[in-house]
Amino acid sequence: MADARAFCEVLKGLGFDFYTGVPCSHLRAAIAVVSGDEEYEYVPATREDEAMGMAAGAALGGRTPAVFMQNSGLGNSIDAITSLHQLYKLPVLMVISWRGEGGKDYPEHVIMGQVMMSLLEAMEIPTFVLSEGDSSDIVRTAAERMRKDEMPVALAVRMGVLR
Amino acid sequence: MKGFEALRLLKDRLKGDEFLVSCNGTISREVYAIAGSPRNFTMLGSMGLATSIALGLAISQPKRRVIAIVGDGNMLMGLGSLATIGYVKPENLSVIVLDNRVYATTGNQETASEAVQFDLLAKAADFRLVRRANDEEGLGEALDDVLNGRGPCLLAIRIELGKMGADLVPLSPPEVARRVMSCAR
Repeated sequence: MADARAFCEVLKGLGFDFYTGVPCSHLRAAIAVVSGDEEYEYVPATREDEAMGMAAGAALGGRTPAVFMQNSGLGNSIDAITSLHQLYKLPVLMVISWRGEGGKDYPEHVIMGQVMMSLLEAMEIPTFVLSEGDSSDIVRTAAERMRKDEMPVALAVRMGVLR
Repeated sequence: MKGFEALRLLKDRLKGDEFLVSCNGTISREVYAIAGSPRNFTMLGSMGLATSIALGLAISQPKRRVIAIVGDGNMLMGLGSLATIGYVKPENLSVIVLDNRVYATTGNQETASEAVQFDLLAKAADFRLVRRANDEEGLGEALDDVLNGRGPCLLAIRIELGKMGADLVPLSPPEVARRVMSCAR
């Protein structure tokens, strides 16, 4: 398991200072940290593309944004990613729960769970996978890539990992 | 009154330190032609997200006024953002809706805005100040209110069809973003 508080502290330590998104039960521990602590600023969004829009505005205003979403929300975010973040070169870390991985999930998650990695690859979004264990190295690598490319980067969080 | 005529009245009232987030399509071209500056984020795509981009910018730049300029089609696509803005309540955010009842950029196809009063929607979402202007006569005062009032503010302006024929924004998208970022430092 990756400890959610430690994960968020790594994000904070890497300079992430604007958090938004739409919850997933597999991200609830992390969202509880960023929304319940004055040291973080979390804005709840009505849709994931709205969260991506806020993240873009935050990046324009000098912040470093991270967006929490279920992979269903990746579908909602595609136009924001391609015609906003990638077009204008705006960095953002998308923390995406990998629902439906291996088909072991509720039916509504299975198809996206199968195609998510291909979708991210087709969109040329550098993607890092958060598995069991210490999260700090993979989060640091993802953040470095985001800063180097000035582009959106995805962190795919396996189910049950972030607690 | 056409959209660009309303934008000229807006331009006359700007102090010069405001950030403008203008939505994709004709509106960004006209905003850039009339009031363009390094503080103007001119959208090309991501329709429906102008007000959300403006909210993120307003949160990050709390000492500067941020003005989102959107059409009725854009506002309708991003209606959920009114709830988020009303929840966050940024004092420095103003939303201006240019409502011509159509998707003008793509050939004047109808929108659903005839059924909607954007000022009342914003009021119901707990905006602090909302105004509506149906003609040039009432617009000046309404603009003064929403540009200077404690936000979040929304002004819905009913406009007629008609474009000024503004050119495309002559900057690459990354340039547009970096100009805004440099003003935000």
